[in-house]
Amino acid sequence: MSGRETTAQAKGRHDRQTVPAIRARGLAKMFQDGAVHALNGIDFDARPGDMTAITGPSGSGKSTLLYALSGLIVPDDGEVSICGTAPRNPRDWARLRSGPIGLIFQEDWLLPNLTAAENIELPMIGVVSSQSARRERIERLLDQVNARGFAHRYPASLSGGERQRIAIARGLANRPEILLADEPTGELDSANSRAIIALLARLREAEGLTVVIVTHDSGIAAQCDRRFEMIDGTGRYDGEGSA
Amino acid sequence: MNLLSLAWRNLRAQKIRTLATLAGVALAVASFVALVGLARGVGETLSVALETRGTDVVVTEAGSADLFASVISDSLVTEIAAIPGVDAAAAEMTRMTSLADGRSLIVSAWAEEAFPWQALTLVDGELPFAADTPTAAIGEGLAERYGLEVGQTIELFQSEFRIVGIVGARSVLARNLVMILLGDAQRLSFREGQATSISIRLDPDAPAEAHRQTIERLQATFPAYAVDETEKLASGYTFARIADVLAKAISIVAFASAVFAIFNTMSMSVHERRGEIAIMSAVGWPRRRIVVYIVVEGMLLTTVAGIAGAALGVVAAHSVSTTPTIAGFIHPEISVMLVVEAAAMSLAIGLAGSLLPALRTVSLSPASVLRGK
Repeated sequence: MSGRETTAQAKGRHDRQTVPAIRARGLAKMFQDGAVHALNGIDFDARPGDMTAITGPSGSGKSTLLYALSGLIVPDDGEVSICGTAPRNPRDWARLRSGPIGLIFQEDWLLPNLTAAENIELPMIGVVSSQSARRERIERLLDQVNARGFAHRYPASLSGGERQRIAIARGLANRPEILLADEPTGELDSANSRAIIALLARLREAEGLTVVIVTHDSGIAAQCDRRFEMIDGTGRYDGEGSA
Repeated sequence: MNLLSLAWRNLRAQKIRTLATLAGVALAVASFVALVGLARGVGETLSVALETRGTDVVVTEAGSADLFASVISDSLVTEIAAIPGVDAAAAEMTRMTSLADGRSLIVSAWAEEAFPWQALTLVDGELPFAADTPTAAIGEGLAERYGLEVGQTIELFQSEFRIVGIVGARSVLARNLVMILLGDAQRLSFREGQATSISIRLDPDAPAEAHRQTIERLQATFPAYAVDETEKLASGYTFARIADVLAKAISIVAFASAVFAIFNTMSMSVHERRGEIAIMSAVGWPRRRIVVYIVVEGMLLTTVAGIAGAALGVVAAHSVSTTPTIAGFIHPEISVMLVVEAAAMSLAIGLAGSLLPALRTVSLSPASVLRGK
C-alpha cells in the first residue's frame, strides 16, 4: 500500500465526515391496524463514528426505530438512508445488512448447532468466498471480543456474557460501518453489561464504527456521545428540540 | 461452512425426526423401485423367455387377454410355415397349472420335432419323447427349488409325468418351466387340435427389412389372428400392463405420502428454527438464499432417503421374486433408468415438500420473531 491517499480514498474520507452514517426522515409505523403508533414522524441522524443511545420507557418505540433503521421493519412512511444511499427494497436492505450494517440483539440468537466460530462465520456465507479470509477474520474477531478460548464450543456451554460477545463478533463479521444494538445488555448482569458496553466502546475506537444502542439503562446512555430520547413514538436528542 | 454443511448439521441435530422422515421417504422410493421393477419384470421375463428359445414372432388369438387364454388351431402351423421368410413354426400350448401342494408353475408344450426344443440346453438326461407314461423336461431352477431329478415323477393335469431331462436356460421363466410334448398336453387338458400360440422363427440370415416384410405378410395372410413380434407381445401382455398400472398407482400414493412427510418435517423444523432463520435475515442473507438453504435441507434428506430406498427396493424386489408364489415367473427388471427415475422423484419430493415451508418462513417478519412477538 502506498502511503499517499488516492482520490477515491480522500472522497470516501470526506463522505464519511460529511454524510450522516444514518439519516431518517419522517419515519412512521403503526401496528394493530393503526391502533398503536409506534413511530410518529421520527427524524434521526447518526454521525459517523458517534455512539448514539436511543432511550425511553418500554413501548416508546425505541426498538421499532432501530429495526426500521436496519430494514427489518418497513415503515409506513418516511425514508432511511445509510451512508448516503436509500435502500428501496428488501434486497437492498439485505445487501446493507451483509455489509455496512451490523446488528446485535437483546437475545444472542446464536445457532445452537454451530460452534462459536461457526456462528461468527454465518454472515460471511455468500459474502466472503475464501475460506482462509474467513478464518483470518474469525480469528481477529475472536481476539477482539476476547473469545478465542471458546471458539470451538457450542452456545449451550457458554455463559450469557460469552454468548453476547460471540453475537457482537457475528455482528462485526462483514466489517460493518454501523453497528445497531437492541438492548445488548438486557439479559446480562451488571458486571457483564459493563463489560459488553466497554467492548462496544473499544470496538468503535478500533474499527471506527458508528454505534446506535437501544437501551433503557441511563448508565449506558451516559457513556454515549448522543442520546435520542423517545416517548410515545416521538423522539428528540437530549438537549435539543423535538425531532 | 456452506449451505449444504449447514443443512447437514440441522438434520443431524434432530436425529430421531430425521431418521423417521428418512425411513418414510425411503420406503416410498423402495416401493416404487420394487413394484415398478417387478411389474416391468413380468413383460421382460416373458420377452427374454421367448427370445432365448429363438422365437421372433408369435401368432395368437386376436383379442385374447394373454397367452394362456388364447385358443388357436394347431393346424395353422403348416400354413404359417409355408409363408416366405418364415424359417420355422411351432404350435405351442402354454398352461399355468398347480402341483399337488398348490405351488404354481408354467407348462409349455411343443410337438416332438418343433424348433423351440433345439434352443434348449440339456444339463442332464434327454428331451421328452412319446411314451406310455408321459415324459417331461424341467428347467434347472425348478429342479433346484423342488429337489427334482431325472427319473422322478411330477404330477401335471392329474397325470404322472416322468422327468427325463433337466434344461439350463438364461431366462428365469425357462429355468422354471416344465416342458412336455404337445400331444400329451392336448390330450390331458382335453384340447385336442388346439394350441395357445404359434411360435415363429424368421429366417436368421435375412436382414431386418425382410423380417419386417415377412411380419406384414403374416398379418395380411392371417387377419383374424394377432401377429406380434416377441418384444411387442411382451410389452402388451395384459398381466404386465395391469401390474404396471398397479405399481404406478401404489407408487403415486407412496410418493404423495412422502411429500406430506417431508412437508410436515420441514414445516416443524423451520417453525422451531424461525428465530435462527430470522437471524439469517438480520445478518444479511437475502430471502432467496434462505429459501435455497431450507430446500437444500429437504432435498438432502430425500437424496439420502432415495439412495437408501433404491437399495432397499432392489433387495425387496429380488426377495419378493423368490417367494414361492411367484418364484420362477418374474425376474425384477431394475434398470439404471428406473434408479434414475427414483432419484429424480426423491429430489422432487424434497423440493415439493420443503419449498412451501421455506416460502412461508421467509414471508414472516424477522423483526416480529426476533422481538418475540
